[in-house]
Amino acid sequence: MLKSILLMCSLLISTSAIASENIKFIYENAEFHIPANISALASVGDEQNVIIVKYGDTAGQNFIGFTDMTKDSNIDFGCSTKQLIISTFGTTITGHCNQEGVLAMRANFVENSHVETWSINNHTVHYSRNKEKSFVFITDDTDKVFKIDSDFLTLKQIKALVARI
Amino acid sequence: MTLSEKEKIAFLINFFWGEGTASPHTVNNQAAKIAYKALSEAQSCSAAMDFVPRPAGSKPGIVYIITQLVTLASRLSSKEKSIYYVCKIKVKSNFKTEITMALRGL
Repeated sequence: MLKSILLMCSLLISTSAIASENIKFIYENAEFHIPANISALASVGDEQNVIIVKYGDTAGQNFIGFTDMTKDSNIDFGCSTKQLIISTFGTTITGHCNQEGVLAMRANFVENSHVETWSINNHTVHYSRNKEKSFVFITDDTDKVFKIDSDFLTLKQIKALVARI
Repeated sequence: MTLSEKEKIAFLINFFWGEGTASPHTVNNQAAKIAYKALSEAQSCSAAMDFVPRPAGSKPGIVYIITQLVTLASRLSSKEKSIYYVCKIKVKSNFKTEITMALRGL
């Protein structure tokens, strides 16, 4: 049954995890703190290294998804993913990003969404919340871009999740 | 769902979410529902694919959903791919995690 129920090379559960509300989760050398009561963990292992953390038994609900967006060959935006994210959440289009692509991203993640941006430990966190889900895009001083999405985490929980990145 | 329907829906999923996302044997009803939801919520997809989602309020059944997706998959292979650009961005960036979960029975 796939790597679905617990396949994880980079999950570190601290010795105090059972007693604490959160556990430390290392994704591509970045540290996150996720709620501890996990029901399933799936490592998809595609080019985007998608990892899904699932809570509860309801199919398709209560999840946190981690995606490395740095390499994405499916959609050509004409620029790096980092430039795309900066352009999406900024006011100008940087690099050679395709304007149509940036506008589509803005329509998706900025318009009609609650948006916040903050910096932490040399990373920039772009948060977007629509009526169903939260999305977080994290950039640093390299070209790396992580996306985290969840259908249940609050903004406060997301801030805690990335607080020690 | 027949094997032929699964093949067409896998083709459609791989077009929008990237090659290797689905194979016919991983396609299931839940993945079909997510694909339908993703496409029907994106207005840009309606325009690009001549796709008219059912009116809000009437929940489509799985047979209807499969029929719609199979039809859309057939249109995909015959149309200029660039017209799906905005639709693809919307669908992929919003529902990547959900389609991945569905294909794995999570």
